[in-house]
Amino acid sequence: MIKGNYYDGADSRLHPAALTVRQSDVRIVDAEDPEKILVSAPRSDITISPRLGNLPRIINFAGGGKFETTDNQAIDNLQHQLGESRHNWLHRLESRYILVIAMLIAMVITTWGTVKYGVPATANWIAHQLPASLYQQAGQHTVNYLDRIIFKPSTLPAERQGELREVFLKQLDDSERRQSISVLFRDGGVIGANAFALPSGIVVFTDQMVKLSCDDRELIAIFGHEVGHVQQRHLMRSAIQGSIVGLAVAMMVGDASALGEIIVALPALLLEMSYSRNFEREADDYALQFLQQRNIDSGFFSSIMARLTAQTAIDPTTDNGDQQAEDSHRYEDYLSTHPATAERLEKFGPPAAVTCPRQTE
Amino acid sequence: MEAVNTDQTANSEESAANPLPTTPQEHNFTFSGNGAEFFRIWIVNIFLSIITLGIYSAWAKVRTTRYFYGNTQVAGASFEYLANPITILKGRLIAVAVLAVYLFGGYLIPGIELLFLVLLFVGTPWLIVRSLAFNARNSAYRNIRFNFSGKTGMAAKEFIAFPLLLLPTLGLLFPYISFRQTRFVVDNHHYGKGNFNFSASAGAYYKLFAIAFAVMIGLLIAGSLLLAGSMAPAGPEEPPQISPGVIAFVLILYGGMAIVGVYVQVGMLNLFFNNAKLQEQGFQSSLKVSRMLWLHLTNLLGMLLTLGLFYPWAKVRIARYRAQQLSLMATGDLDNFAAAQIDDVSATGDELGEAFGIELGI
Repeated sequence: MIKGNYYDGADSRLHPAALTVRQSDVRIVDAEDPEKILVSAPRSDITISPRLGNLPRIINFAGGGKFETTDNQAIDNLQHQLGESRHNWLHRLESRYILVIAMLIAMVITTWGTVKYGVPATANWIAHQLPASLYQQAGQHTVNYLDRIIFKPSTLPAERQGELREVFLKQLDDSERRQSISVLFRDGGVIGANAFALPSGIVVFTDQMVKLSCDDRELIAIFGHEVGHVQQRHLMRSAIQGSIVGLAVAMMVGDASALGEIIVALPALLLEMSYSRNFEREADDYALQFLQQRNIDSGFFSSIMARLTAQTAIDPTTDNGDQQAEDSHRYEDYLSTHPATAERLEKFGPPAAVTCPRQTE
Repeated sequence: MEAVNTDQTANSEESAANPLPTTPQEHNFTFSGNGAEFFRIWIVNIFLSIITLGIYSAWAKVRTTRYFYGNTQVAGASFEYLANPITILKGRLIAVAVLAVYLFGGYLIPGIELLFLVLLFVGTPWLIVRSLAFNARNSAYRNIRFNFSGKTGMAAKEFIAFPLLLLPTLGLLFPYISFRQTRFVVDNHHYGKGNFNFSASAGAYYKLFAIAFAVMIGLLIAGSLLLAGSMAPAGPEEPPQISPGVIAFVLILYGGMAIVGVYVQVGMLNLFFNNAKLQEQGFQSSLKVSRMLWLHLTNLLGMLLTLGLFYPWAKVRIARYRAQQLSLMATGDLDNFAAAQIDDVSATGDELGEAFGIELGI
């Protein structure tokens, strides 16, 4: 006999009751008077709510009545007796710490693998499926946007622009030409000395970057880095990765409060920064190869990078998006969009000897 | 028990002679879930959701909601969540499809996000009504289901038309709108054939928000004074630094926002329950700001220290405190609520609302 309460479903009246099994029937009787049957039904006409923690169990009768009891053990036994205990496999998973901890470990490993390899691989695949027209559109859109809010027209003489453009484009090999790379010059305004690669193959140099250089080969080194971004579709991949992370965050914080959002949003931001650093490393590798193949001393990358770092250190108000001057702080790697300068200089070798300021021809 | 029985006898004798309403009998709500148990359920939910590529998440939602409903008890019976996981899955798939178009559509068709935001704004009343109806109809107590009968047109008035008046009234109407929205939600809820009604006055809401506003302004002034005090003229060569004054300002602002946020949350919940009635049955909620603030603060700390693994304990602690402070003030017995005919409702509104973060502040 299992004690509990019965509700007939017509109204909210609570009938203290007890459940008994008689031959083929499950029967609910009055708690005070076991002869008074409240409901009786064959076993096939009842459903028992699956066990969940220590929640009261509900025995549903086909006629709409419900019997509620806190005696989980007795109901488990009853289900066993009725041959229905397989319905509680979830509860068995949920009650074993060892299984739960194994699942937790499996999830941590899966999440790590997805974040490290899954998301970048998916984004890379998607980036290569997108039509060229989309890249053109996105590139043009970005130039227009930057022209409106940051850039001013370049003050470099037109001849100098043409000369540099020719120097750059001469370096491209066949596979790079297929990306229809073009070069633009702009006054960088607040962002100062910098260079960007846009999805459609537009490479933008700021006047400040050109003026900072002491040798055209330094600019070729930077150009190589930006061509690396274009070749590997970094900007589009970064946008796709950002969307995937954004979608995952939106799904995770479904029922969480503002507090939960902070806890999820912070790792997401760190993650995007880490993706960005990986792209920069790939572009650096590309630039190194680019220079080596053309027999240009890779030290030209180091020399302009060192000068950029020195300039940023003197003038801390200049915010360089592309190259950040920082000492080799231990945590820098987690909080920066670019690899540490020291790491980059090591890759490209000792700075090349250049005469500065540049002699005007 | 003894004392209650004597009271009742005394009351019934008195009311026999003099038909006065009897003193309500207080039934305390209890929450009997615990963090360790919910932790295991939560991990299994996430694990199965991942390996089924999200399909299980509908079952996970039902299991989580059942856990919180079933562990909430009052007057000898627990609450029951009856939603069918398949219904939730359908709603969830639609919501994910819409969200994906929203997130990625902008790359293909620029400006589609804007169209979405407009649609979302216009569709909000529908989402709110469907979400409330879905949750109410799938909630039961003593084998009698709840219901929500609010209509989209009425919701549009409360959640769109009135809020449009905020700008011309410089926000002065905000407490009144909040009051109207709460009243709309409560008045349209039913338990079987029993009706809920909301008897608060707009004045109570004005008082709540006036205090919150005053505290916020006070903190802002205090913070600004601190900030101004620390702004000593720096040498021209010196690079700008983050001064202690700025840190204090930010801390005061964030701390102040948290306190005011919890103050408003607690005040709204207390107003909600203390003024809601189910026929002649009332409720009493006596949540304290200090206790709630302590719970939120320790929850945040626990989450940070355990990288989020504290989440199940955090949820259970809040649910337990809220139940502890809530009572049903029963006049007469609770046995006479008759069942009403209830139609099923799809979960699309509920899931869409969740995907786009539409939350009722009540």
